[in-house]
Amino acid sequence: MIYKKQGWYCVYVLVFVVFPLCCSVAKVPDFVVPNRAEIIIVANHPQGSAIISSECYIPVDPERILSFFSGGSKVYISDVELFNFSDRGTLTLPKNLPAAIEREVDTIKKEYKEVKNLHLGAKVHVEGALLTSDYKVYFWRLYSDHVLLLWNEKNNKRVLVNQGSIGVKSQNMTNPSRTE
Amino acid sequence: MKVPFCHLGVVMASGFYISHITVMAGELVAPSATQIVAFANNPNYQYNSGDIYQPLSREQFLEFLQKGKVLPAGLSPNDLQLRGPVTFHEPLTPSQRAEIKAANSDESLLRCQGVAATKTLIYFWELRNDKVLWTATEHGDSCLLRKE
Repeated sequence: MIYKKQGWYCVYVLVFVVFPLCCSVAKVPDFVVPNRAEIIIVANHPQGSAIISSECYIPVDPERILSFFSGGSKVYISDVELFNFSDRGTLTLPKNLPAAIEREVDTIKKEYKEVKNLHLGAKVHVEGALLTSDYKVYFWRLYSDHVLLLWNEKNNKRVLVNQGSIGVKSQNMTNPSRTE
Repeated sequence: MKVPFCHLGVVMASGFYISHITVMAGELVAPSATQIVAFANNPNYQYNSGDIYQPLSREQFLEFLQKGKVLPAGLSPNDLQLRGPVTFHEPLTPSQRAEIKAANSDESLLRCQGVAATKTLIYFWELRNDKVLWTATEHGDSCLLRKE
């Protein structure tokens, strides 16, 4: 009888203590942020594609996106911090935007006067997709000059925070940080 | 036979004009199914709280490339060819059902979009209804494919 009780006790310990512990230790990362060298295509989301026509997609130089993958960017697994970061930064829009986009942005600016950062108006988006050499697709969205959200098809997200100045930074970077 | 030099110039100029018009039109030649090396749904396309995300399978997407016919460019969203039923592939939650009932339209809430890639180009796609798929490159060249 005592052995039977001990047996059940062992089963409980295995199921509720040992197994969850093993799972948490052996947790496989959902994705590793790719290196700049692994990225073969960076594409901006095309303008005029959204069903909701009032939304505006602004194309940026792919170099701005690639700079986040050159190394030195802090990578956060959760996107909880994202809103804190995006509150601080500003999103510099490219110069010489097509006239139609400029007009759209001006309209949205007037409409969202209370919004500090234009992108938080949820009407102007700087986003796109990228392809790596092993043919994996990631989606990206630039929240501010230094904050990039990266996610995959399973909606696993990473927040890349690039603290340095864009352009100069990419030349002096070592390997990117990988928190996974 | 000698072709006068000025005639050659006219031919070249008209060729340039025609090609220029083609580029301006922004019509996309959709890639063939065999060229596709990567495919992904975009689950984070949720700017409006009521949006309902639905995935499209790779096979369903490739079927559009294999069997879809290109619809004429410049169709307005009200065009009959762009209207049609939207099938929700996944079970809806009670709150999603309530959203649909409130909006009185499935189409306005369904978000089914993603990207596909060849070795050299990324194509953005969006399902307009069960039979019509829109696809475009980042340069804005686009086409609508209708599956019969």
